[in-house]
Amino acid sequence: MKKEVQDDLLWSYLDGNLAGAPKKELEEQLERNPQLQSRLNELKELDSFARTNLIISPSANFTQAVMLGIKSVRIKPRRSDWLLIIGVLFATLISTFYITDASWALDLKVPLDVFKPVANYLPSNDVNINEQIDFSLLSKGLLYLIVFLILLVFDRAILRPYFKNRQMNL
Amino acid sequence: MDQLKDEKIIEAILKGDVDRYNLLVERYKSYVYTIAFNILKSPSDAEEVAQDAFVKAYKNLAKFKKDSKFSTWLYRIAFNSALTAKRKLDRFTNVAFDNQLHSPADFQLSNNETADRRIFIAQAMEGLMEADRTALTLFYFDDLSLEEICVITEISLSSLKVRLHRARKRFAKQLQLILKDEALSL
Repeated sequence: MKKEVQDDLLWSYLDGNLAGAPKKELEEQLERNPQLQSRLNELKELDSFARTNLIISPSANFTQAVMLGIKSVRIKPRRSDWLLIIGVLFATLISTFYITDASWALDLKVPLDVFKPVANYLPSNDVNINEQIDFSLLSKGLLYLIVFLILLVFDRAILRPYFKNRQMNL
Repeated sequence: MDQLKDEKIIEAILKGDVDRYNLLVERYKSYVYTIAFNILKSPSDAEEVAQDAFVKAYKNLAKFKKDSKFSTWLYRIAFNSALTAKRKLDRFTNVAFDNQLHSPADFQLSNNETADRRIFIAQAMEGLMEADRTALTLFYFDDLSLEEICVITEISLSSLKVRLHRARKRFAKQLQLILKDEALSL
């Protein structure tokens, strides 16, 4: 067997990629042929030599340099933080719209033709709705929500980083 | 403390215990540095890229998905950072790094014998193509499976197997020659 082919087979055997009849055949050859067995041992040793000596250590102050590097860096906000900010903006827009006028005038004039299938059960005249609907409760609720969200953002974006930095610099 | 699982350490860091990050740096610095070194072949560039990889990983720690191992994710960052750095260096310089590779002082080693061994490894690695060198380096990291190496290097399992088979054969041949020469010169 050519040395190149033989090595190919031995590497496959070492990697566990040989199975069935070829594996059995090679194992029988290994038992019979001490030279082949010695080549297998050689490859094993080379492999183990590489495995144990491949890893290189960086300079002694590597960790210190990384830790110094990350002190000035902030962890990028999570998606939930962005959702919070978007939520605040959205709530602000909605509330600004409603707070300007806490009541809505609802003026609907519905022609009776629309309700033909149930016409017998309805009054003979067109239906007129002219009501003032009070949205003050909703606007108040949104106002409280905004205040709560603003406090939450203030806490996460300003207070916590500030006290964390103070704690680290002590 | 050093035996803490990566996930626990990451959880603590995200809660604000930033100093815990040094446990992760200590645990993986040699692996990250080795990846960078095998791509860049320059100790100073490798050190810079490895540090940069750790800072990048820290910045994006909140985005780390726990469905993969932290080490795999970190090695992938290191691998990509080293490739980017290499492309930049190749564009702007034509400096040959090979001479630096043979200096024991570059390896920050504790004794001469270990230094020699690592120089032999580096010399044997030189004969390999860059992609084969990286695949082989990752293969010799104890805790990585072939599937994880595929994730880091973004190649298919079949290509990786072919690459590893070729690289190991060539590497072993080179290493054997170097070791024989050394033995003869004694």
